[in-house]
Amino acid sequence: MEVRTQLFRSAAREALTDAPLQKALENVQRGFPGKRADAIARLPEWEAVREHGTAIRSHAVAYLDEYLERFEQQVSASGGQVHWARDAGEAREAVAGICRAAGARTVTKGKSMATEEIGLNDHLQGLGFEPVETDLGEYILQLRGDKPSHIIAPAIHLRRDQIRAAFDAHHGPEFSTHSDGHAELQGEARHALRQRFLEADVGITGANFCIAETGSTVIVTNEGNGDLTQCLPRVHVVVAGIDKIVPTLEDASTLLRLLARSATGQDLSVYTTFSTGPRRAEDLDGPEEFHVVLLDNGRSDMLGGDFESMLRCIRCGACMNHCPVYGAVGGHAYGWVYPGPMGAVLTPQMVGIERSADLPNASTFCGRCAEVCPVQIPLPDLMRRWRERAHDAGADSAAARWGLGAWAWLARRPLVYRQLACLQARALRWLAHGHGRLRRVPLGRGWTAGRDLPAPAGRTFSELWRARSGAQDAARTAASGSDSHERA
Amino acid sequence: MSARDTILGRIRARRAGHDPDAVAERLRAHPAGPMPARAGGTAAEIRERFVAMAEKAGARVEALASTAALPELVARLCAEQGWDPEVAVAPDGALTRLDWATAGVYTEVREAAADDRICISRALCGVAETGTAVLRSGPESPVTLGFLPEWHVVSLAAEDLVGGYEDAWARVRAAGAMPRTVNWITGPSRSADIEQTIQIGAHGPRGLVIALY
Repeated sequence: MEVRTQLFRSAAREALTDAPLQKALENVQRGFPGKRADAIARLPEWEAVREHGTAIRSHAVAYLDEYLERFEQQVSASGGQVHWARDAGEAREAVAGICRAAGARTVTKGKSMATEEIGLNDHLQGLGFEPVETDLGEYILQLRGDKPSHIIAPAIHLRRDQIRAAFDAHHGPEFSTHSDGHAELQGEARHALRQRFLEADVGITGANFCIAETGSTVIVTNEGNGDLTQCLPRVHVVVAGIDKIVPTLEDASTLLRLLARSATGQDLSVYTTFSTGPRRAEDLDGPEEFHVVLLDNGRSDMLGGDFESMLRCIRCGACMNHCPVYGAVGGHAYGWVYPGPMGAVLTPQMVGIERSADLPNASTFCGRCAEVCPVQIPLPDLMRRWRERAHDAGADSAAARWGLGAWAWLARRPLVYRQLACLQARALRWLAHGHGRLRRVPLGRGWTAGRDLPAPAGRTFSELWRARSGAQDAARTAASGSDSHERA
Repeated sequence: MSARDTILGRIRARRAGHDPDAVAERLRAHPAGPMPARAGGTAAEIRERFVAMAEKAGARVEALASTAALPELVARLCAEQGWDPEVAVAPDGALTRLDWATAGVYTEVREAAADDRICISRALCGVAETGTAVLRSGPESPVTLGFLPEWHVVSLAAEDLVGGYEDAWARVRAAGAMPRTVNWITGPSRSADIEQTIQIGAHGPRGLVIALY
């Protein structure tokens, strides 16, 4: 997927004035947080499950190499094959090689952010294969040449009339319902995609988890498209980040108690499927080949460093559903696969902080993302560390560097700082002409464009503090004076 | 150096874990996490919760006096939907030996085909905590039966109801090596991808009927 993270500021500005997008984003803020809260209220043991889920992910990350080796052994033992990919290019080539060997023409795909991350569709198309997205949201995006704006609700930025237009442009008269009703649109996509499922030679899915104990990959869907993608074609390919490993079936069960509740507010998604190897000798259906492409792409660099806790992420999307910045600008503004707070931490790791320095700044640090994270990733802390790195790498804006430099110079000179603060407090008070607020301040146009600045009362905090503690000291001296008098 | 060796080498150099037995021990013991209270209870409570949760997820639960009543139920479903009583049945003795003919249902014993209306398979167990049917793929349980048809009918014995997912794994482990798939099914197919409005019947079955006997 093309990296447009460096355009965050302009993309965010456009998004804020895009009325249809703003309407669509209301669906995120109105829907997800309430459903999640209700689902959690129905599970009184939530905090205990969350603690345990966090511990499972930390443990898996701490012993990642051993669990990956065990996973590979078990995939092989069940007749499948693991392919290792250091980066996006190797992963694309691994998948293309499997498609080539299978003599594939049509390739169906379940929703997979890992395949978005490696830009798989464009690559396969360039080689003459026909990739077909089967998740309803992803299918709509593919028809439109659009990109996901949310990791679990990829087409959340679209309205029905836009979806109707995409179907009109691509569906023949045998499929069209000519309606923009929710049910009709969905029925039309079901009908149009049915044949594609049946004719596919290779089915590609992601994985929500890879289970080391059994060599199983797990997918979670509500539509059933991921299952039709993997049980009908001759070859099933799973593309998964190396961080998806969990030790056992029991561990996966704990994490599944967290995943759907955090993501959609369901107690459990409709279909949770544990796939282990290709079809067995006596089976009547299922793929004849089972491949797992394990993708590193910067993940192993996160181990043992500032961002290791991000490897715990289970991609539920709760952080973006609760983020005021995501809610205001939507997912596309973030410029790559992963939006919202988790994207602001993951994207700099994968595309480089030089190109994505604005993302860790796209936060009010309100902390809701960390509060709702089912595996307790301290997202604001991690964003703060990226801000530091962006500064060290010289990747932040000239204005920000100048401002921070000036502040640092002052902060190290308390006397000058105090004098300047006194001057400023008085000047701003004078500028306010007794109105108590300022509609404009020099150098602060961006801030005052949308709101007034409360005017200072005329004295600085240190002046007030000194006056207050001076008065207290005097009172104390007076009090102790009377004590000594009594004792005498 | 191969990609595999590069990746594993990098991880080994940076990972935090130092206990040489930690991995082997966890895989051997596969400990359960905290079990929600709703995953426990008496057999009657578990049954009641399973039914309530499955119905909440949009499944239709039909209580049968015995498995022998299944053909009648299927005949009724076909009539309701206005479909010819022609169904695909999993090659499972518990299903194929039932008297379908008397109920007027024509059966084909096979995996699913593209235009199947109703397919019938048997669950290994049912999980009360979320009303989930657990199916184990195999020669007697083709996976496509649960995904291609308009309606999926799952036969489930009340004695195979369990409380939580961990109890279901104990059943799966007892049944032998991992099959190609273990499918957890909780209600019929749906999507909210169009304006976050939930619509039943995305790509999988529009109807899920759990025949509980």
